[in-house]
Amino acid sequence: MNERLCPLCTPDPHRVFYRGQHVIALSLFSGNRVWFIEPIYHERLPMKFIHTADWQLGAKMLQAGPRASEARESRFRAVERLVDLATKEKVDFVLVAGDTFESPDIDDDVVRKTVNLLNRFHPLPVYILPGNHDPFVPGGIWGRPSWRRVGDHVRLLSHAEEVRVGEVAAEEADAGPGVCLYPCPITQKRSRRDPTDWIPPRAHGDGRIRIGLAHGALDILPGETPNFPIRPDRPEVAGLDYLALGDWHGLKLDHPLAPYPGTIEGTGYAEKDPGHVLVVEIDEPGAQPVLRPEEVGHLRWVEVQASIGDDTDLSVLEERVGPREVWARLLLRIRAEILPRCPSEAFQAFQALQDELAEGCFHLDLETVESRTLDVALPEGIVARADEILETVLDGTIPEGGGRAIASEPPEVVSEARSLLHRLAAEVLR
Amino acid sequence: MIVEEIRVQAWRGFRESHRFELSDNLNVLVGLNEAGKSTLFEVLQRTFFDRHGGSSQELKAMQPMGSSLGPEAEIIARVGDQRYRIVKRFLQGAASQFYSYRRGDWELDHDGDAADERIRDLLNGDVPGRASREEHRGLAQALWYLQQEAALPAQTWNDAVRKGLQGLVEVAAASPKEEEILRRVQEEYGRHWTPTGRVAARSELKGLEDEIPELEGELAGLQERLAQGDQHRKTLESLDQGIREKRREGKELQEQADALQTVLKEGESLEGELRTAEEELKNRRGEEDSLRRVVEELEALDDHITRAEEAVRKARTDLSDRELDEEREKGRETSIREKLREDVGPGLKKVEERLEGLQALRDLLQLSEEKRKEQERLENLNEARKERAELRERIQGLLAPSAEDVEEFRTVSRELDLTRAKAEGAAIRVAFHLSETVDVSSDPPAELQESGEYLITSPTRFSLSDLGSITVSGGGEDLKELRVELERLEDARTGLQDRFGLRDETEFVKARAEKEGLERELEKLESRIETVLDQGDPADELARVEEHLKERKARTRKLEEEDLALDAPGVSREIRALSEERDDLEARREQLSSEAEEARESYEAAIEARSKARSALAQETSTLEGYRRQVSGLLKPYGDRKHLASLLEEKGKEVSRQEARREGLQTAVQETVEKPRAERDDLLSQIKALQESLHEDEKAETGILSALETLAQESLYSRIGDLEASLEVKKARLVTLRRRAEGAKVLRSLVQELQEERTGVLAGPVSERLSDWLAELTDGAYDAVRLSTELKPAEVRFSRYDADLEVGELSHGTQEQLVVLLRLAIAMALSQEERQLVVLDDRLVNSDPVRMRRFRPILEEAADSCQILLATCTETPYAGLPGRVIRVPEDGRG
Repeated sequence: MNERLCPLCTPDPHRVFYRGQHVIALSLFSGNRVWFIEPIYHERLPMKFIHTADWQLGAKMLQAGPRASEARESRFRAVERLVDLATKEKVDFVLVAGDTFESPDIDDDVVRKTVNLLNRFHPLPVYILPGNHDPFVPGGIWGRPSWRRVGDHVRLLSHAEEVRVGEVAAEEADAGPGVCLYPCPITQKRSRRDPTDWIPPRAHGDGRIRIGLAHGALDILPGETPNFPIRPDRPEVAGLDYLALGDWHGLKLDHPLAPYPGTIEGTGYAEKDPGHVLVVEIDEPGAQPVLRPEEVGHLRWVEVQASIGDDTDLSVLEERVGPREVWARLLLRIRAEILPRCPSEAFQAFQALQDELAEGCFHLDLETVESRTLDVALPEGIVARADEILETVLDGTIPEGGGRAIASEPPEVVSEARSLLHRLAAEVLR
Repeated sequence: MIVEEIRVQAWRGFRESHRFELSDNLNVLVGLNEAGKSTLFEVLQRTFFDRHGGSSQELKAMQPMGSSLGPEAEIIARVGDQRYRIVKRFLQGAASQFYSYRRGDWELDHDGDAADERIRDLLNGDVPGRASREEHRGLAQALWYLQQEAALPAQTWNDAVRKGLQGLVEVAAASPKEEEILRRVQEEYGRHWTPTGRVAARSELKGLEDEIPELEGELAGLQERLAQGDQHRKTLESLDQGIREKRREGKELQEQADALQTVLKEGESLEGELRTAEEELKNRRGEEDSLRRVVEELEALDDHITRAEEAVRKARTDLSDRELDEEREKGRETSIREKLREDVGPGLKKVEERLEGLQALRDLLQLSEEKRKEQERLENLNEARKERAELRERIQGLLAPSAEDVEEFRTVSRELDLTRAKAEGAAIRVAFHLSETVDVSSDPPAELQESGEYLITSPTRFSLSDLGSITVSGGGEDLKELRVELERLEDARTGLQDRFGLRDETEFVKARAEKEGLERELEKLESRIETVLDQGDPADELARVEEHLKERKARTRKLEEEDLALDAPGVSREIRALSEERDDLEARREQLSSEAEEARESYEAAIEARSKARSALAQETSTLEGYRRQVSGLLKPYGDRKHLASLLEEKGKEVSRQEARREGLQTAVQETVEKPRAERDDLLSQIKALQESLHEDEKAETGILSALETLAQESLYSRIGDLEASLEVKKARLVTLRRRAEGAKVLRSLVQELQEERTGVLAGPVSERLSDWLAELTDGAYDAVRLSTELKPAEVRFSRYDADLEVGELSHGTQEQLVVLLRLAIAMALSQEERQLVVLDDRLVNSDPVRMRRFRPILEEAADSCQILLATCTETPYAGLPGRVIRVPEDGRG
C-alpha cells in the first residue's frame, strides 16, 4: 500500500472515508513544458474496526477478596491495552456494545478515568451503546458532568436511529460504500422486548455496509426468561452485514454475523474465555466478516475441584493450577477434599502447596474438607476414649455413658472436634 | 501449706503486737467470746487472699475501734521444706512483702501486687474484686471452715479444689503425652473461650463477632445512601417523563396559539373598522343626545315658564291681600289704644288716688293706735327700769352673806362646836362644893356649866372670895391645841358675824334668803325688760310710727272732707269698694292692653306678610324672566323650535344607520377576532401554567441531579464493594473459626467430662473415709455417705432401716458434723503430697458430749496428716489430744 497521504483521505476525526483508490493525474501545459504530477495510488482496504463490550468498569470484584481494588484497576489496564491495539491495528472506528460501566451508581472517579482513557483514542471515532448496566436513563451515568468532558470523537448512541459513519456522500463513487450503524440503546435494566426490532430492512439500492449494535441475549434457551432477547436471525432479516453484540462475558463466535467479544477482563469463575476484543474486517456489503480475537485481559480465573488422596492427585492439582509464571495474575478457587487414605506426607505437601499458592496467586479462595484418619496410635486413657466417643457420634450413634451430651451437636462441629483432637495428638505424638 | 506462726498488730482487738506459734498437728485456740479467735482466722484469710491496697468496708472494719492504724499481720508458712514469710499491712501505710527463707536468712522476693499474687498462689487462690470471699480461697475453700460461712459452696468447689482433687488423678493415672494433649486441648479451647464458656475477649472469634456487625452497620449505612440514588433515579424517571409530556403538550398548545395568532392578525383590520364605526356612532349619538337635550330642556323650560307665570299671578294677589291686612290691623290697634288712653286710664288714676289716700288714712288710724301702744309700752319699760334700779340699789346696800359665806359660817360654827366639845371633853371641870355660898371668880373667866361645873380649858385661877384662890393647870398638849383651834374658829366666826352683823346661822340664812329673794325679783324684772326689748325698743318703735304717721298724713291731703271724716271701718269699707273698682278698671285695662298688643302683633305680622309677598312676587318675576332668557338662549343656535325639531329628526336617522353598520361589524369581529382571541388567551394561560409547572419540575430535576452528583462524589460504590469483599472474607473466616471454636469446646467439654468421671471414681477414698468416720461418729447409725459429682454429701444410709436419707433431713448438728468430716477427709486427700492447714472455727459447738468424745480419735487421725487449727470456747473436749493449746489472747503477748 502506498503510504503517502491521499488528500481526499486525510484522516479527520469527524469523517471516515471508505478507503478506496484514487488516481490523480494532473498535467499542465505551460508553454513548451509539460509538468506531471506523480499519481498517488491508494489501495482499497477493507473496513476494519474493533468490536468490544462489557467493560464493566467500576465493578466491585468481590470475588477477588482483599484484592478487589486491584482487580478493579486491572480493568482500566485492559482498556489501555485496547487503545494500544486500536492504534496498532489502524482501525477505522471502535464499537462498544453496552455495559461500559458496571452500574449507574459507580464512583465519579471511574467515569473520569474512563473519559481520560476514551480521550486517548482521539482522533479515532468510538461509538458507545448504553447497556442494561449503564442504561440511558435520567440520572444515569451518561448525564454526569464528568462524562460530558469526553471528546467529540466519542459518540454516545442514545437513540434508536440510523447513524452515518462519516459524511462521504455516496456520489463520490470512488470513495467506496458508506457505513451506517443501527444502534439499539438500552433505556432500562430489564425488558422482554427485542431491542433490535426497530432496525429497518435494507432498502432496495442501499449499497452501504450496515452494522447493528445491540446488547442482549442472542441464544434463547427454552424455559428461561431472557433479558433483552434478540432474534437470532436478526442480521439476515434486517440485511445487516454485522451485528455487534454485548452482554455475554465470554468470547462467543458461534454466529459469524453476530458474535460476542466477551468482557475485556474476567469478572467471575464461570466465564469462559473472557479478556478479549474482536478485530473485524468487512470487505464490502454482503461479504463475510473476518473476525480475529485479540487478548487484552490480564487476570485469569481458574476454579478447581480436587480430591487429594496421594501425591498423584497433588500433581494433577498443580497442573490444573498452571505454571508459576502466571500465578501473579491468577484468581484461583480450589475446593479440595482430603481423602481418608491421604498419607501425612501428601497432606503436608498439599499444605505447603496451599501456602505457596496463597503467597503467589493474585487471589486464592480455598476450602478444604478433611476426612483423613489419624495414622498414629492415641494414648490410652481420656484421649483414646474421647476419640472413640467422637467417632461413635459421627457414626450416628449415641454413646453410652460419658459424651452423651455431644450427640446433639451438629456433625460438622463434632467432626471439627475430632480433627482437632487428631491434629493435637499428631503434633504431640510425632 | 501449713502455718508456723502468726503475728498480728492493730487488728480489731489486737491493738498491740501478738504472736502465736502453731504446731504442725492439732492446734486448739481457746478463748472466751470476743477474745479474738475468729480475728486470727480473719488474719489468715485477708493476709493470704486480699489485695494490700484494698479499701473495702470489710478491711476498714479490721481497724481497732476509734483508730486509723493500719492492720498488720505477719505469717510464717511452710510448703514442703520451703519456708515463707508473709508481711502485709492494710489501709494506713499499706504494704505487702513476700520473703523466702534461704541460707539461714529471709530474702525479700516480692513486694506490692506481685507479693499479693505470690501469696495467693500458695493456696491457688483467685484475685478478689474487693474483699476476698470463700470462693477466692483456692484450696482453702475446702480446708477452712469459718464462722458465718455456708456449710458447703452453693455450686461446685472452686477450680483450685477440683484441680487439687484432680491432682490425685494426675498423680495416679496421667501419662505425659496424654497430659500434653489435654493441655493442648485446653490451650486450643483457651484461644477461643474463657474458662466460663464465654467467647474470650481477645480471641480472633470475638474480634470478628464484634467487627462484623460494625462493618455490616457501616455497609448498611452506605447501601442506604446508595439506595437514595436509585430512589432519585426513579423520581427522575417519572419527572423526566412528566417533563417530556409537558413539553410535548406545551408545544402543541403553542402551535394552537400560534395558529390562532395568525387568525387574529387577519382580524385586526376588522377590529379597526369596528372601532371607527363605534366612534362614529358615539359621535352621532352624542349629537343626537345634544339636540334631544335641548328639546327636552326647552320643554322643561316651557313648563317652568307656565308655572312661573302662575306663581307671579298668585304672588301679586297675595301681596294685595297682605297690604289690606296691614291696613286693617293698624286701624284696630289704634282704636284700642285710644280707648285705653281716653277711657280706662283716667278712671283708674282717679280711683287709685283716692284709694291711696284712704289707705293712708287707714294707716294713720292704725298708726295712731300703734303709737298709743308704743307709748304705753315705753312707759312700762321706764317703770320697770326704775324699779330695777331701785332694786339694785337695795341689793347693793344689803350686806348679806353670799351662799359661800353662809356655808363658811355654818362650817365654822360646826367645827367650833365640835372643837368646843372636844375641848370640853378634854377640859377640866371644876366644881366647888362649898358649905357656903362664895363668890367665885376666875381668871380667865371660866364657863359655868349648868351642871355647876366650871369648864377649864386653860390654866385658870379661881378666886374664892376670902377663901383664897385655886389655880387649875393642865389639859395637856391636846387641850392646848384644841384651845388654839377653838380660838381660831371663834375668831373666824366672830369675823363673819361682825362682817355681816349677824349673829347666828339662822340670821345668816335669813339674810341670805332675803338677798336671794331680791335677786330673784331683780331677775324677773330683767326678764320682763328683756321681753319688752325683744319686741322692739318702744322708743324706736315710737319714732318709727311717728315717721309713718307723718308720711301717711301727707298722702291724705288729696282726700275729700267726707273721706277724712270717716272712721276706721268706714275707711275700710271705702277702701274695699275702691279696691274692687280699681281691680275692675285694671282688668279692663289689661284686657285692652292685651287686645292692643294683639292688634299690634297682627299688624306687625301683616307687615311681615306683605313684605314677604312682595319678595315672593319679585322672586317669581325674576324666575320667570330667567326661564324666558334660557329659552331664548337655547333656541339661538337653531333659530326656532321648528328648525330644532327637524335637526333632531335628521340626527336620529343618522344614528340608526350607524348602529346598523356597527352591528354588522360586531358580529364579524365576534366571529373572527374575539372568539379566537379568547381561545388564544386561554391557551396562553394554559401554556404559562404548564411552563411554571415545567419550571418546577426542571428545578426538581436539577436538584435531584445535583444530589446524584453529590452521591457519585462519595465513591459509595467502591466503598461498598470493598466493604462487601472484606465482610465476605471475614464472615467466611468467622464461620470457620466458629466451627473450630465449637469443636474445641465440644472436645474440651468431653475431655472434662471424662476427667471428672475419673475424678469421681478416684474420689472414692474421700467417700470411703467419710463413710467410716460417719459410722464412727454416729455409732453406726449412719454408715455410708454418697457424694455427688460435686463432691458434696448428697445422701447418708440409715443402717437400721437400710434406707437412704437426704442430708437435708439430718439434724442441723449432724449436718455440720458431716461437713466437718468431709473437709477433714478432703484435707487428708489433699495432704497426701503436701501437708495442708485445716481451719475449723468453732463448728462443733452443736455437738453433744458423746459425739465430741467420738470426734477425738477422728481429729487425732486427721492431725497425723494435716495441720488443724480449731477454735473453741472450752478446751475440755480436746483435753489430752496430742497437739497445742493456744490461749487467746494471753499466749500471744510478750
